[in-house]
This record gives sequence, C-alpha cells and structure tokens, in this order.
Amino acid sequence: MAASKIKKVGVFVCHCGVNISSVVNIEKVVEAVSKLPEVTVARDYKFMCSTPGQELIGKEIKEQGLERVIVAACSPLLHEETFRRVLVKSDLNQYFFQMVNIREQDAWVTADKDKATQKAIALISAAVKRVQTHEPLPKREVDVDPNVLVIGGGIAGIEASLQIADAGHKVYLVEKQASVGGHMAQFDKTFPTLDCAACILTPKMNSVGFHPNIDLMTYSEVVDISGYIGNFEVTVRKNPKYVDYEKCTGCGVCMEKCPSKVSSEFDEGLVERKAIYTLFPQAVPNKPVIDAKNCTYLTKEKCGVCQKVCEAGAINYEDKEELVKVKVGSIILATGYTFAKPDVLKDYGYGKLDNVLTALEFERLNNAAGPTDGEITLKDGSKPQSVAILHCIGSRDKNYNEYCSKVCCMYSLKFAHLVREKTGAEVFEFYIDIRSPGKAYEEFYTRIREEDVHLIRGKVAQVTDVPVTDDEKGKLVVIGENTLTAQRVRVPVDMVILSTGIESNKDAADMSRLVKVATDKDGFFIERHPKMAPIETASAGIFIAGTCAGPRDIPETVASAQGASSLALKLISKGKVEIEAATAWIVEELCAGCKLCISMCPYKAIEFDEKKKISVINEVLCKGCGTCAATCPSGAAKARHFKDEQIFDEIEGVLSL
Amino acid sequence: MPTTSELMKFAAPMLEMAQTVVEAKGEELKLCYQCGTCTSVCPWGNLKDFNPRKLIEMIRLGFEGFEDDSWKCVNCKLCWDKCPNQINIPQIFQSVRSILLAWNACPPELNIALTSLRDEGNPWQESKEKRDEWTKDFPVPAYEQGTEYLLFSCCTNDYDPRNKKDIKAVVEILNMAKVNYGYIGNKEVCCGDIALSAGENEGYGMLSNKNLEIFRELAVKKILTISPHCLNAFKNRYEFNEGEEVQSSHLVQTYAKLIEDKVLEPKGEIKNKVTYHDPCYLGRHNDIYDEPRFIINSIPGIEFVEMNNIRENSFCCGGGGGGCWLETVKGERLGDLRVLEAVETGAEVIITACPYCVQMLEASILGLGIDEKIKVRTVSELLLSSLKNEEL
Amino acid sequence: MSEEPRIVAFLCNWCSYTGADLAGTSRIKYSHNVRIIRVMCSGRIGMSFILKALSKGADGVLICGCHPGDCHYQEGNDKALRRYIMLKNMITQFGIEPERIRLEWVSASEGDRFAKIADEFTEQIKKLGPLNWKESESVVKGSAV
Ligand SMILES: Cc1cc2nc3c(=O)[nH]c(=O)nc-3n(C[C@H](O)[C@H](O)[C@H](O)COP(=O)(O)OP(=O)(O)OC[C@H]3O[C@@H](n4cnc5c(N)ncnc54)[C@H](O)[C@@H]3O)c2cc1C
Ligand code: SF4
Ligand code: SF4
Ligand code: SF4
Ligand code: SF4
Ligand code: FES
Repeated sequence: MAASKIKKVGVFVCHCGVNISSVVNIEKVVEAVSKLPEVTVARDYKFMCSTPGQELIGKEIKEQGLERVIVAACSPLLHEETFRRVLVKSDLNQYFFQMVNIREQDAWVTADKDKATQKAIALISAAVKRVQTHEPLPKREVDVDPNVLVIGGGIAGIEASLQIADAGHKVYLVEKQASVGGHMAQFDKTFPTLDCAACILTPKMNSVGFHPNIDLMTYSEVVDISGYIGNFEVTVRKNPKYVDYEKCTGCGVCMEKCPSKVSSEFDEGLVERKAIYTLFPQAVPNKPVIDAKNCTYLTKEKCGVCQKVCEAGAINYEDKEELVKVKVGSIILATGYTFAKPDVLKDYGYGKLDNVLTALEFERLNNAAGPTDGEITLKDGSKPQSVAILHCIGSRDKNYNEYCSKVCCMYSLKFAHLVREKTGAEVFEFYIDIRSPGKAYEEFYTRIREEDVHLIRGKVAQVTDVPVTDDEKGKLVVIGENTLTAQRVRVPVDMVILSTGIESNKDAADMSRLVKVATDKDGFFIERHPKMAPIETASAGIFIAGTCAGPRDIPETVASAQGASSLALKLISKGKVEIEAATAWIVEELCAGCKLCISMCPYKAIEFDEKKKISVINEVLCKGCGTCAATCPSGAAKARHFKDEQIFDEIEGVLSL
Repeated sequence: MPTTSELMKFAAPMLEMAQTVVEAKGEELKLCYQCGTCTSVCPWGNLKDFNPRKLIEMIRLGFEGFEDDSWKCVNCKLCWDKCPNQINIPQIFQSVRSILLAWNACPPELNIALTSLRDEGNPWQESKEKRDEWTKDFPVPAYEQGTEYLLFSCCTNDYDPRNKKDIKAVVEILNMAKVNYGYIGNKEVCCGDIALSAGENEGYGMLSNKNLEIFRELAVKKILTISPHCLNAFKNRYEFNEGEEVQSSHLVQTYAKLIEDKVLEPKGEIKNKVTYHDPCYLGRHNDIYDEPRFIINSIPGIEFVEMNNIRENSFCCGGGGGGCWLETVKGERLGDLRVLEAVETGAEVIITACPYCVQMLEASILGLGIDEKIKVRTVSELLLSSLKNEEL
Repeated sequence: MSEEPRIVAFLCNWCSYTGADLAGTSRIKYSHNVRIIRVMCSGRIGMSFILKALSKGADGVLICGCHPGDCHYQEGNDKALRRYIMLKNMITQFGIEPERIRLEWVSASEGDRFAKIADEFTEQIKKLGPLNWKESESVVKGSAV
C-alpha cells in the first residue's frame, strides 16, 4: 500500500448533544487523533449533522485543503448520505469520505467511559488509515421506471394507488383476496367521528376498480422481485378465479344457485357464503371467484350449476394460474395486518360459550350489511340487556403480544357507544389504561362517559357460565378486579366482547424475504429510521404504508399511504436515481482465468472473455456484494470502496488500541 | 392542641422498603402495571380481602400495611401464569417474607415449624432419629451406590400416621413392579421447598446442602419423589453442579410408564365415582397433568368426573407456601372450597398426589363434617387397591 | 498492550450491521472488545481478512451475516458459511483453536442477540487466552478461496 504521498485528512467528532459526549471523552479523542501524522485537522462540534456542523466541515475542507474527510458520529446508515453531500458541495468526490459509528456501536453500548473513549480512538484511527486509499468513484445514475407496484389493497394500498394514478402514473395493485377493501370494509362505523366506513371507503374502492392508470390484480400474489431502485422486475401470480372477467357481467345468479356452502371469512364465520362468491356485496371488482377447495365441480366433478346458469358463459372450470411479469421503479408495501386470535381467548370462554365475541365479529354483527342487518342481538335473536367489553386481550401481555395494539381502546369505546345507542343495554368496560391520544379522541372518551358507560379499571381474568348467585344463572359472568376500589367484582352480562389486537400477517416472514425488508420481533416491517424515515426502508425504492409497519388507526394509515405515494412520485419526477458506485472490477493482468468468480457471482455479472482468457465484470449487472473479490485466488477481482487493502488498513486500525 | 400532622391522615412513601425487597430477589415487582389480573385469579379472593396487586403497590412504594397479608400467599402460581408482565408474584412474597423473618415478624406457628426444620430436619417437631420408624415392621430396600432410584420419601410421609399409609402403598407397588429403588432413612432431611417459599433462606440452604451432600456421597442419578414439593425443589431450585446429571421425577410418571408397559396391570374393579385434584406443585409448577388422569382411567370400573377448576386452572388446597403450617380460622380455608367443589361433582373420593393436599383436604372434610360423604386417597392408594383387588 | 482480548467483527451492511445498530438504539451494553468492520455482504469476507486480523493481534474474529435466505445479494451468506467451514480447518492446521472464529446470523431486529453473541464470544476468547500469532504476509496474501 505504498501510497505515494500522505493524503490530508480532516476528522470531525460529533457530541450528538450529550448522546456521545456523556460517555466518550471527546476532548481526549480529538487530542489523540490530532497526533496521527495523516490528520491535518481534528474538530468537534455539538451537532455535526446540523447546518453549522456541515458548514464547519465545508470550511475546513476549503481552508486546509483537505483531501479526505472523516466524521465520527452516529451510524452511517443514518447520515452517510448527509456528509457525502457536504463533500460534493465542497468539490470533493463523495467517496473520499468515511463515517465512524461512535454512537450506536460505541457510546450507547459501552458501560465503561474510558473503554468507550479508547474504542472511539481505535475506530477513528482505522478510518484515517483506510481513507488513504479511497478512490474517486463516478456517480452511477439509472433511469427510474415510472410505474409503481402496490402490494395489498386495504385502505393503505387503495389510497397510495389512487394518489399515484391521479398524478398520471401507472400502478399495479396486487391484492391477495377477491376484492380490495381490507379490514376497513368489514366495519360499519369508525371512531372517533362515527362516520360510516362504507361511505368513505366504497367510492375509493370503485375508483381503484375503474381508474385507467390502475391495473388491479385481485386474487393475486407477488412471487418474485428482482432488480433495484428504479428498475424492479416483479412476477405476479394470478390465481385461477374460474370466472372470465371479460365476459362476467356481475349479475350474481351463479352465487344464488350454487349449492355448496362454507363459512364466510369476511363475516368472521357468523354466516355462510357459497363456493362461488364475492367477498361482500360492494366488492371491487364486483365479480365472483370460485373457491376451488369447496366447489363440488372442481373437487368431485359433480354439480356444474354455475356454468349452467351463467348466461354470459363466463364460468371456466379449466382456468389456470397465470404468471405476469411487470417492471416498476418503486414498490409500496401495504399488506396490512391479521386480527389477533390468541390462545388466551379460551380463558374467556371464546368458542365454548355463546355470545362471547371477538371485536371483529362484533364489527360484523353491527354492520348494516352484515348477518343481522346491523342489529346487535344475542345468538337467540334477542337484545342484550348488558354487555361487557374487555380491553387488552392478548395485547400488552408478555404471554402473547407485548406491544400495545393502539386501536383497541378507541374501537372499544366505539362499541360501547354503538351498544348504548342501538340496544340501551348496560355496558361494562374493563380497561387497564384508556389510551386516547389523537385528534378528537379524548373528547370521544368524554362523550362515552356521558353516555353512562360503566368503566371499570382492571383487566378481566376470566369469563364463566358457572353461577354462584341466582342473578348469575343463565348469564356470562365476568370476573375481574376494580383496582380503584380494590374489590374483586363479578358482573353477570348477556354478551362479552373481547378486544384483541393487531398482529403482523402470518406470511410476514415470506414477504420480508421477497422484498428484502426486515421485520421486527413482532413481524412488522422495519422503517429506515423510526422518526426521520418512517416510510422508507433499508431497501431503496421500497416504501411501507399502513399497518404492515405496526398497529395504526385509519387516519395514520392513510397519512402513511399518502407519504409513501409522495416518495414514489418524488422518484418518478426526478427521473433518475444515483446508485451505489461501489461495484467490482477485475484487474486484467492479475486474472488467471480460473473462472471461480463466475460461478460465485449471484447476479451472473461476470463473463469470460474467450479471446483474452480472463473474466470480465459487467458493471451494470454488478451489485457490489464483493463475493468475487473474496473468492478470487489471484487477487484480481477487486471490490470498489471495499478493497482488500482498505479492509486490511481498517483491521490494523481497530486493533491499534 | 394537636398539631396538623397529627390530625391529617396520609401515607408517605418509604422507598427503602421497595429497595430491600428488590435486593432480596423481588426485582420483578417494578414491572407491575396494576391491572388486577392476579387479584382476580387468586384463590384467596373467594374468601377474604386478599389483594396481591394492592400489596405489590404498597410494597413498591413502601406504604405500611402489607406485612400480615404477605404470609397468606400459598404459592399456587395461578397469578404468575396469568400476569401479563410474567411477574413471579410468589417470589415477591418470598422476598418480603425473608425480610419479615429477619425482623422476627412472622406468625408464631410458622416459627415452630421453621425451628423444627433447623433442629430436626423436618417441620413436624419430630426427632430426626425416628424418621425411619415406620420401616421397622415394613421392610424397605436401602439405597446403596448403584441402586437405580433413590426414593425420596418426604417428612410428612415419614412421620404423619395418615401419610404413612400412602408411603406404604408406594413401597408395595414399587416392589410388585420390581423397580430397582432404595430408601436412605434417617439420612434424609426435608427438601426445604416450603421453607424457601416461607422466606427461610438460611434454613433452606442448610437443608438443601445436607441432601446434596448425601446425593453426592451415594452418586445418586435418579430421584423418585412422592411429594411434588420435593420434585420442585430438586428440579427447579437445587443448585446441582455443572455435569451432575440428576434426574428427578414424580411417582405418577413411573406408574404411568409401568402401566403402559404392562408391567403393572390394575385388574381389580374400583366401583367408585372419583374426581382428581391437581396439586399446584405437580401441575402448574411442573406441568404434570396427564399421567394421574391416565392412571385413574386405566382402572376398571371406576367412574371419573372432573371438577370445574382443573389442570392449569386448578384450585389450591391451601397447603403451599407454608400454608400447611399456619393456622387458619374457620371460613378462611381454601381446602373447604376445593372439597365442596369436589362434592358438587357427586364424587365419593378425591384422588390426589401430594401429601400436603391429603392433609389439607382431609382437614377440611372433617371441619365441614362431611366425612361420610367424601374421602381423600392418593394415586398410589388407588392403584394399589386395584392391583390387590381390594376396596378403596 | 492490555490483557483484554481483542476481537474484530465483520458485519454485513444489511442485516447484521443494522442489528448491531439496534443494540445501540436499545442501549444494550456489550463487551467493548468487539470492534466492528462493515462490509456490504458476508460474502465479501474472505479468508485473507480473517488471517490478517489474527496476524495483526486479534484474539478472535466474529463474522455476522443475514439469516439463510435473507442475504441481500441472494446467497452471499451461503458462500460465507462454506468458506467458514474451510477456514476452521485451515486455522486448526496453523495450530490456532477453531473456536477463535465464529460465524453467526444476525437479523436487523436482533439487537439483543448481537449483544449476547458479542459478550459470549468475548468470554470464550477470554477463556482461550491471548493468541499472539504471527504469520508472514505472503501466506496471508496467497491464501485462496
Ligand atoms: C376491530 C377493529 C376495529 C377498528 N376500528 C377502527 C376505527 O373505527 N377507526 C380507525 O381509524 N381504525 C380502526 N381500526 C384500525 C383499522 O382496521 C386499520 O387502521 C386499517 O384497516 C389498516 O389498513 P391497512 O390497509 O393497513 O390494512 P388491511 O386493512 O389489513 O389491508 C391489507 C390488505 O392487504 C392484503 N394483503 C395482505 N397480504 C398480502 C399479500 N401478501 N399480497 C397481496 N395482498 C395482501 C389483504 O388481503 C388486505 O386486503 C380497527 C381495527 C380493528 C381490529
Ligand atoms: S352468473 Fe355469470 S355473469 Fe353472472 S356473476 Fe356469475 S359468472 Fe358473472
Ligand atoms: S461484486 Fe458481487 S455482483 Fe459484482 S461481480 Fe462480484 S460477485 Fe458479482
Ligand atoms: S397481574 Fe401482574 S401486572 Fe397485573 S397487577 Fe398483578 S402483578 Fe401487576
Ligand atoms: S400464588 Fe396463588 S395464592 Fe399466591 S398471590 Fe398468586 S394466586 Fe394468590
Ligand atoms: S447482505 Fe447480509 S449476508 Fe449478504
């Protein structure tokens, strides 16, 4: 590594308020690194990423004629971009920069202050050595494909699709189910305004169905994604619907006549649907699919009624799944959530006792288009005289989901209102804490108290039908503690609603693999930064909207969807994106032509030049993983910005103290 | 004239108290968010104002008034299993008790049991020389190095006239099945499980060390327990050294295996309606629920009915956590509720598998004056009756 | 210079480096002996890096990549695993205890796991004691595959 001449390095150490400086002795660090022969100037500042901090770096570059810049601060995953831009502004190549992580990987993880200081100095020394051999890399820009893929057609996916389509760009909206709408379509009223869900959702669903810029693929799933920001190639599997949508008029005769009945998932199993069905009457598209598992023709070749009654001749029992390839520049993940049904439900008699419902079952019961036309009734058809609503079932509970599901308090208060309004029944609401932080949410809580709902502070432990008094005979008995009076209570009621929470989808891990976006321990997608980049992900060009990123209510879901669409539109309107320039190359003179690298490259980016008998890397295909460089026995394959000598320098540096 | 502070009533936090409890292994108390689940499930709630949630809050802030109630908890573990913060509530009481003991603030009857434990190695104020007296006319193989199982008898079985019947049944069955086992007689001391629950850390340490010494001396590999408390002590509490592979199991597991392998074939009909009481330390603490039911169901002619609160939700007899050594006034006995629950099923016999449960339930039956109606038998006694074709 | 073990950790940029960051954001403390070097993918971590580290005074080397199937370059971690197995054999031949190198999969959500691994590994290396291994530069450079 015989560098001809030592390059002038500037080191900038950040206090990050007190985040770093309360553990790492900044003064000592600056003093120590100033002594390194390569270092021309070492400075520290309270907030290096702030405008004055950036200006400080710019000024020193100019005044000292710095050739290399090091910032020791937070993680490069957060601010590498920021500081690279400072270099560009100061007419230095952005790859003459190295960031040293002394916050996440030092100050925040090291208990002993001296050790932390020592570690900071070692890490910075490593960078000082490493930057010596940094090379200027050219900008690599690619065109952005203006099409967008949206995965999931709940309110998040619908909103994001409409925003982009209205801006004049093509959207592929892929929805697993037979209709868009997601969970919101199952509700009747929404908190805190109590406006009807259908009234605000149906028009949007219809727009999605008819929008000239939206290619809606229902009953479909994404099975493969390759490429990178600006240029993704996506394979979508359209599952067989057995109905030709070109021909089908949506008249519904088939559904009327179909003899095969199964429990309706949309109605949470409260009623049955047919084997040929639409998810719900306002479904978009409003055309049926055949559920192959339950169709007697498809399973046993008996029946065939729908084909006989369909005047349009739309039934096609021979329908096959179809793979469609589309190209897009960005992807919005809006796969939503699964309604939790934890094991603990059995402690509350769920599945054993009549009139113990989950929240979503209650939503259907209350829905004007639901199984009871919106009448809140008991199993025997009568009206309840008393109802208990139990908060936090399976949420805020280490035995199930440790996190707070965020929407349950509010929807439970909504239920209380609906029960009072429709039946006049006494409502007992058992809660641990009421969480109502949102616009007009606290006011809604006040309103519920005015409506004579009996709020009891305590978590219910058990629901039983074994009476101990005459009053309890024939009732569901809710057992809990009123923690405010320190009394154990037993409340006999007619109906119990279990407020369980929002859980990540069962297939979250598969989706995470497909899109290369990591999930947290609960299966929700991880944002690039919890505060500053809540919609972006670590994978450039892939955005997250709605509840697939964590529990959210509808306003938050819609806001994040609009955020995701504006980020996708930003990419489109820019037209080009800069991509990592750190690809690999092969030094002709060193290559022995062994072809080992060709077999190792995951992107088939290396070809063999038969004339020269050497391997050659196609830089357009190379993603810069560096596997070839690690493999090459002659040291011919080199990874830009992660060259052997650079890593070696770093190794020596980190071991220096 | 009184001063204002004499007139005004208020409680002031004494944070040192909480700190002391935390230091005595009660740190989980910090996590409580006061939901009341523990209070709702605690069996005591059915009989009196016993409120673990409130006690935790008082302890956490050092408000006076938790002292007396801290002795009540019977370590049934129901609250711990249901607590959304997975707080080991019995451990918190154990920590509090250890502090109260250090202050000499413990119920007098408990003191008697604890003193006996220290002096005689058993809680029943009996002489340590008399532990093996029951074997004088009832020979039991002695444990020698190389014997497969060490039969750990339990103080209650060794000394109490009622429970001696049970251990004799055990010995008879093991002999019939030709199990390779042995007994260490007077070398045994109490396992210390309940002493520890009662907060008696030192006593527990002494007892467990004595037993560990003997296990090591005799190179014991497998321990067969009759009391679920001994099982719990060996499985979950004793500090064996790394590499000391000592397996502990409960008799019901052995029986179930022997019946499955057809070594034991209970052929004699038992024409009784029976129910089964899950001991907290066999069930919730050690997850053994199926074996006793399998044994009962393998007996011909028997009619088996379940109570309401079974398996994971079983209702405590009141004997755990030192409860068996405390005096409880009439109307405040958990065993009474359990016995009545059994009576309501129509059963004539309560089958169980713990010496303390036998004691507590039988005391309740006598106290309620219903000994004509219902009786208590152990799984061993039931099995032996069938094997010998005798009445239960 | 000190009796403390020195450990170099190579972490892939996507899962493992993010996981280590998460340990920080969650303020989980772990052994300060572990010094992290970021590479794009665990597939980049060649044998020469490990040998270099050991010869320059490291007492142990930790390699972390995405869980199988999660590599952002399709299968770099698979390559890392195969290389790791060979590497263990190789250093054993050099007379170095194979326990001085360790490969672990750490996802972006496993901050606590990373910290645990770092501590455990440090303990393990402490038990093994200092290495003091010097190998001529030529072997390091020439070591292939
Ligand atoms: C009982 C209950 C009551 C509620 N009441 C209210 C209320 O009154 N007010 C309020 O503001 N919020 C309420 N909420 C919250 C509300 O449901 C959510 O905020 C909102 O529905 C989230 O929308 P989403 O699009 O993110 O997810 P979802 O509605 O779950 O939509 C996700 C969509 O993605 C599809 N999908 C999933 N995986 C894939 C895949 N792999 N490929 C393709 N498609 C896929 C699904 O089929 C679904 O259509 C309530 C929640 C519950 C549980
Ligand atoms: S009968 Fe034919 S046209 Fe009518 S909804 Fe069914 S498939 Fe469509
Ligand atoms: S760096 Fe990775 S993608 Fe690029 S050529 Fe080498 S192996 Fe292929
Ligand atoms: S159940 Fe747990 S969290 Fe709830 S009050 Fe009891 S100890 Fe506290
Ligand atoms: S262990 Fe049992 S007795 Fe003790 S507080 Fe918990 S529920 Fe009550
Ligand atoms: S990117 Fe993490 S192992 Fe390849």
